[in-house]
Amino acid sequence: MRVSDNQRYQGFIPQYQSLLARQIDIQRQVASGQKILRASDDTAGAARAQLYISELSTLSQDLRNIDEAKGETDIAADAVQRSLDMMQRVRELAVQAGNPTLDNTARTNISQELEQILKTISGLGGQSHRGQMVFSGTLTNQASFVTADTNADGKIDTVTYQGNYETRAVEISPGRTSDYSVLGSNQGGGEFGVFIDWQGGVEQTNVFKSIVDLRNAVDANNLSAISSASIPQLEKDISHLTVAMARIGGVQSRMETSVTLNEDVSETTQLNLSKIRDTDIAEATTRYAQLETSYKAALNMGARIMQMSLLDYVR
Amino acid sequence: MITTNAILDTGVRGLRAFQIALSVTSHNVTNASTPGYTRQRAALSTTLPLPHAPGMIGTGVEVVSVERMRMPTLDQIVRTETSQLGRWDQSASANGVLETMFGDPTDGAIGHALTEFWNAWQDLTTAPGDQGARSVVLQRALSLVDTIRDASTRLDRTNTGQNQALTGYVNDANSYISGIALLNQEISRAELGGQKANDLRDRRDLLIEKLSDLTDLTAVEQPNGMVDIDVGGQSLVSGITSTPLTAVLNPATNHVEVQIGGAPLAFTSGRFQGFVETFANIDSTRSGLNTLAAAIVGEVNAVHSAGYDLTDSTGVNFFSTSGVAGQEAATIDLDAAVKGNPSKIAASSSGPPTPVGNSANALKLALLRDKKAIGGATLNEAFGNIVLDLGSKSRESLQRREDYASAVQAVVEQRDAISGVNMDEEISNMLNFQRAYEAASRVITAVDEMMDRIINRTGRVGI
Repeated sequence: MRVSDNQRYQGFIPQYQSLLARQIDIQRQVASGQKILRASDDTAGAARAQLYISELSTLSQDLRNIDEAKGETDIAADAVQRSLDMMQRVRELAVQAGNPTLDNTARTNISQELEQILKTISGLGGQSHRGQMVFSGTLTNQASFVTADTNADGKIDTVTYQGNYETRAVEISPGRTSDYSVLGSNQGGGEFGVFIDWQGGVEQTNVFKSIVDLRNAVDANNLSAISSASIPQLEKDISHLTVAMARIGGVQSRMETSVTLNEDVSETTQLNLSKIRDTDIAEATTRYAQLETSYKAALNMGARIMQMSLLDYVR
Repeated sequence: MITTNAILDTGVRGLRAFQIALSVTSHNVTNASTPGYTRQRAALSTTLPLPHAPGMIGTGVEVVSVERMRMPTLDQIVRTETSQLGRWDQSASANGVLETMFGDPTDGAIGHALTEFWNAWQDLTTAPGDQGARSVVLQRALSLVDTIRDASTRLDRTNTGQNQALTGYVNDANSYISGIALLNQEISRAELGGQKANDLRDRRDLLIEKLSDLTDLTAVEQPNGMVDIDVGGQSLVSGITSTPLTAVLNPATNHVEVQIGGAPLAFTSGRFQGFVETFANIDSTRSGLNTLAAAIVGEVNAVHSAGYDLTDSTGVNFFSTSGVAGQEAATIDLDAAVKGNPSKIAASSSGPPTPVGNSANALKLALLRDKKAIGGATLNEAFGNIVLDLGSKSRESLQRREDYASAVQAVVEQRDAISGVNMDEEISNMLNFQRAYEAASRVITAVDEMMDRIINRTGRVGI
């Protein structure tokens, strides 16, 4: 075959450029840490990476959502626990007040303590998380309960719920939402009220009314009302608050499970993403070394071929 | 009978022939690197012999022609392959620009802004009354709007750049076309005497090859040596007449069209065909962006307007609906009522009055993320598909460019093997012709001595 000088000199250039371009490509991959810098580098890989990144973002957001919701349920749980402790004390006071030998001073003291507890528990309706009242449904800008002294005797007669009956939900894992709010009352809707609970159109629990009834009975020294009505109702209320604690615990537990699951999925997804997108430095370095050897060999060979000329041998 | 003069003439003919041959060699050597140059060869032939007993006596050598070492069939293949290379080179470089326009292919600017937008709604679900969280929703929405409009602007700039580039190439094509017609004229004149105008033909072939990078073409050589060039059935060059191409901006498409005589010209390959495909890509990308922007506006507004804001209003759009049809990406914006007014974000699903802690509508908006809003794809996926579509087109064009570059290189090498200058060969020829010239010169010297003997010394005994 006849070989022209153009072939000798120009023929090498595309090969040099190809080898150099591949080296630069690897250098970019190593410098950026990613092997997909443009969709055309690996279209299928880029498509999968997009899905993984989207999923990771959702998982990360869900963890934040859970963190926020859990912060609120923690406050709710703490308030319910304190209410429960106080209702235990109310029951103790009821038992004491049922003692026929109790003198007026002791009864007055009990009445005053009950009034104090009533104020404290109704005040728990003002518990808030990031400025949002936790027991008021979606009327989060106002305290859950308002007290009234209807007969102006200086004592609370009624405690009224002023929240609404809407619940709040957040996404806790991709595509799955969870209701996390705790209503102070479900009189007008909702399946469960913490302090005032209605089931089947009948009020089952109203911790405020129980305390007011007890206090009135103590004030009136109505021992039969204390023993036959207040104490059984208080036991029912305590049981209800225990159930409320369990329900809040259930919500928290569900969120904890989601956190674990989300973190596990996130880890696996991150791993998959890394496999597709991240540069394997060892592999890249090896490939670079191979290309470098080829490039040097091509340069060497080209330089030697280009140097050969008949001119060197004729006078 | 052979005369001494006849021998002298033979020697002189040899001198002339080898002088020409050396001249051709010198031309080859000096043009070894000239683009488009075809190696030439002095075709030596014996001159007519003289009849003589006992046989014909030769009268020497002459150069019958200076041949151009070219194979026309290879030229045709080079043009065809160059035309394909031009097409895919244009596509590859334009697609490269388009696909990098959206940033990281796995988490491009719009995709990222969309995700951040959905996440802002998620954050709002846990604190719907928080003005800070509401402001973040607006900020993320503005960022999304900016990103989409920015992509649209960059698409416009790319389109403008491509229009300018195409106009430049049309000017190049016209200079090649007029050059070919001019060379046709010069070649036909130069070849009237029957000799080939080798160097002019080289220059014309080079122009045809440059033109074939821009368009597919048919080049037919006429008996008078002129070449006619047709593209898509339209004549660009006919003898000494050339018809220029025009680059005309089509206001309907905003793309430059290549026209001839006021009518669009159709191509099947060449850089011009690459531009046709580039414009189609720009249009499909813009259409994808517009569909995405329209879907974002439509989907978000549908949910948002059903909710209640903190001022107890409902029916308020989140995005402006005054976007121009066909330019949704360029005109997307927040609704004037919502812009700068976080209280107008309708996070609540109930009202009026709006419960400040109701975030059910915000959650619905956040979960639009998962809605298959565009042809079975979510909004994020739809954006991803735009990038991936560009990526796969870019990958194809890069691959095809590589394939055709190899093909062009292979066929050009084949042609170079015939037409290219080999310096060693030329030096060999040079030495050969130099020696032949010296030998012919020696023949003349010998004849001279013979004549000297006869003229000056014969019959002069004893002097």
